[in-house]
Amino acid sequence: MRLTLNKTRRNMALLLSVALVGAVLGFPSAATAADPTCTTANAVTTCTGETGDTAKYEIRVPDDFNGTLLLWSHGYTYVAKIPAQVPLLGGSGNDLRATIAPGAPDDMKIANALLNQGYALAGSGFAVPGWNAESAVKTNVELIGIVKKKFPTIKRTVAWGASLGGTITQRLAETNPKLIDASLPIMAFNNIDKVTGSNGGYGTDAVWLFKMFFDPTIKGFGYTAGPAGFGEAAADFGKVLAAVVAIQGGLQKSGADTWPATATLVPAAVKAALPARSALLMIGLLTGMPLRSSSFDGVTGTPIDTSSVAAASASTSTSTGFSLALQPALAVAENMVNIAGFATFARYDLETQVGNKNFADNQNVDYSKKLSEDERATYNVALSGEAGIDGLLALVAGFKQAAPLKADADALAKLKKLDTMTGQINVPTIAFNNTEETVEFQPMMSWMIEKANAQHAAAVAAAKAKKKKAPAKKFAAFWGQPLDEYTKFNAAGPVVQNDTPGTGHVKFSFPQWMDIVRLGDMAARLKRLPSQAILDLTRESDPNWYPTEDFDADTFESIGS
Amino acid sequence: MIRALKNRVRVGAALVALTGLVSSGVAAEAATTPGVTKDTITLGMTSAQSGAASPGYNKVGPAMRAYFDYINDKGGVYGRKIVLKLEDDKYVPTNAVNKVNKLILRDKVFALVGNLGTATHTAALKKTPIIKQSVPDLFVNTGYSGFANPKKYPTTFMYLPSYIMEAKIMAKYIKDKFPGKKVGILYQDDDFGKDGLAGFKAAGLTFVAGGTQKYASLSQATVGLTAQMTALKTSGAEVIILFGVTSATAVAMRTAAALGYGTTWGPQFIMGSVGADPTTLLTLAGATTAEARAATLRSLTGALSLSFLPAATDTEDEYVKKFIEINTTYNKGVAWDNNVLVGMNQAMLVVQALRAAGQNPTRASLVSALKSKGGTFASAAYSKLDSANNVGFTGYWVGKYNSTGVIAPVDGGKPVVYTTDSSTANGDVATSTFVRPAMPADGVPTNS
Repeated sequence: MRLTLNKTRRNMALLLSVALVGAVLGFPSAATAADPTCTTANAVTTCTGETGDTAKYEIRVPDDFNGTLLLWSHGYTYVAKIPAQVPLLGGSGNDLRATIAPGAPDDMKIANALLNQGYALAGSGFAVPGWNAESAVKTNVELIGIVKKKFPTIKRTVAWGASLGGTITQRLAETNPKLIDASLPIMAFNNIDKVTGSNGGYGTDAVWLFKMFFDPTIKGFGYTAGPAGFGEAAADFGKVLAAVVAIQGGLQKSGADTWPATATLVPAAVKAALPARSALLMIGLLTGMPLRSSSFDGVTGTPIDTSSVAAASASTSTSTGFSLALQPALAVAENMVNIAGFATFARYDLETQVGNKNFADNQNVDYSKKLSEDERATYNVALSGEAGIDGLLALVAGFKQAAPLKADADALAKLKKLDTMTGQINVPTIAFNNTEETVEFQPMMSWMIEKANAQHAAAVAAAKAKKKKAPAKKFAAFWGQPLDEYTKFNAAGPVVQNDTPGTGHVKFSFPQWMDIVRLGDMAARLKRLPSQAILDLTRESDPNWYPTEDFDADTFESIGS
Repeated sequence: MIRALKNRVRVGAALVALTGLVSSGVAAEAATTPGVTKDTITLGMTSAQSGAASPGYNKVGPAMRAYFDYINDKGGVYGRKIVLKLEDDKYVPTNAVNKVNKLILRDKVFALVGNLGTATHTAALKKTPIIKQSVPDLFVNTGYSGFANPKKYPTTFMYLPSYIMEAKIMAKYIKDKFPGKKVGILYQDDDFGKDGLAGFKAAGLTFVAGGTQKYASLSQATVGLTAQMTALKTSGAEVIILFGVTSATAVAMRTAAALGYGTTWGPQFIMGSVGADPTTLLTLAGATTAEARAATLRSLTGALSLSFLPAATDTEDEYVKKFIEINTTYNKGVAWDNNVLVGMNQAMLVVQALRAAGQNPTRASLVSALKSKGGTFASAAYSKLDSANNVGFTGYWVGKYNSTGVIAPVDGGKPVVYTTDSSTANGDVATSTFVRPAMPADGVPTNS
């Protein structure tokens, strides 16, 4: 995911990080790449150039260089420009500018802070947009060689990257461990099939359920080949956005007028009995979507007048009602827009890469089993009681019976081959994710943790069998989280916020980014993970970190994918 | 921002300084019991201290703290003072998760005590390390029977009798005292109501046609209960059970009055215990007008409800008497009522559990002690605490409200206590023979 603070690109970022299949492009060897062009200003030497595969790169080295090179891998960028008229995302895409740190090149705050601390920074824009993990790894390998040749004072290299960049970082560590000293995969995307393909999946369920509940004219799957299909994806994104806006507009109402006019598959009797917000929340729960978002913390009630007992008593039920009944649905609405981006444009691209066929399948999904008893109890109010829950699940069962998703077997098989990340840990690795991350959601991090733990357990067992000292762990996980309460109100209602750490997609605070680099630098210097005391102290020093590694996250299995 | 950056630099420096630390010191610290020091035992609690559900409930936590303060002045538990960290979850599940995580992971409390609410605590059990870290989770303040499940929640112990028990006892009372009468019910459409319906079914209580009405939680405040109460009136129900939360009871009674209750319509109302606290009902009624408050008292008069503790107004009761004394000194300015009684009684159970866990308590020893000895603890309740099975108290008595909102045994004198279990395989209910332990001398437990 390309992180910038530019609004358009930030919104675009909602979509990124999805597995878009890059064409397997041949590229020339590093020997064909020209030497970088360098200039020095303000105590920083800046070099630019292109790797042999024509990827643009940039290197910045401060005069007081501390010996550590940070190799940044940016996230996914669309394979084409999004049409200008598409809300939020219009004009973004196909961005191949060199990127040396989160936010760069549009926002250099993090990059400049790291340069001031003595780090050298390098990164490319990669040669191709879209899902480019394998070619990007080769670009990075070449870039490391270029940097080390130009700056022989480099003592250690830390690879870091977010979203698809996290995947590229992890894959670089898996395939070229001798080139780097520590790895920081951030929101690494994995398990593409479980997310978008068979057995429903996060991206599949979210769009399919939304389509059935709120607008059956959304195409969603099986896009037309070529530019026409990209246009269909753009139209779908616009429809999701329009329906979400319509639902938000009716949230304070009750009954049939809470539903958008496009919700034509929902019977009038259901609309009269249940508010649309309950259906929206049901979508969130059935997909495993975070129920907190950038603007909605799931807690804060509407402002109340506590100047008198009577006023407080009269209005607290409204305030608590907002927290219990509306907050979760509002969060799903906001997160749904994020997910819709990846589930439309990215799906189009993925389908292109597997032969322009639909690979999504939910024929064997029992959606009623995706709602746990605990969730029924916890969100009973927002789901309009047991009757509401049962009614909504019955409706979903009817939708599936009438129009299940059926994958093309060949396309599905090809999709599964796109995921090359294995989870093998070869160098000291600290992985990062957020508890309320909407794109690389919790199960992706859980999968990495399980893989790493299994690998370590096997290594310990092998050492024990040989009566050798047990090897130290090489992997640690950090979970970012939002603060308890952050929803804000003005006279018009809740205030939209875009940069709440721990929510949305790849959102960390500035101090968290500094923590990430500091830990990676330590690991590279020590040639092992920082001590447990260091890890614990880091987590405990900032409320935007979950206090322990032991966060009980959802897994693909626990959400039924 | 400048300050934040400076702090960050300091933390960074500390991290560098700690780089050389080896894990041995950390391991040694981890081996100690969280929340227990030489001088203190730190406990945590989440409850609705603000928001719609807070009236009444927000007195329970401070009452517990007041009793702990009293015990601390008497020497604490084996010399350790009890510290209670009380967090306001506002009755919102997401917030309960936040607060329980804070208590366990940042405050590192020894145990949780008296957490309140079914949805809130369900979320906390699902999304916090209560189970993974084996945090004792004592005396959960809800009647949802699902929490008494040692396989799923091995360290969770209930306080209230379950809603299933309450329904079974209510059913027996109705069948005994109102034979042949048509019965109707209004229940909350969630785990609370499901538990109750299961209990009524087990006891063989049937409802008149059209007399089974429900409401989605919170809808009582937004949509109202006119449709349900009208349907109950139309059904001809002569006994109407209100098996919901207090705010629903308030709306139901107000609606009933508008439909002629007290003048042209005279069913016998019987309310579940969690929906009939007079203090809360009057607070909610006061939200509108003084007239509404008076109307609430009028509508409450003659209604039946159940309780497992003595009436807070029974000043002859030795527990009530002592707790009032403690409340006067240690909970200054807080009016004595049933909520304070609930909190003080819970706190006294906690103190006994801590003592039973030994002079060097661990989380495991606390759970073990409660399992093996909880049934012998002194308590104001008129029934046994079945902590061996993670169950709360096991009996209720039936009372009637007088014109001042005070509940007293139906036939005067001492309450007749009924006891049962949470099984839905039968509706067996017996008159209790339980003999309540005497109040410990000076209200200070000395058990071991």
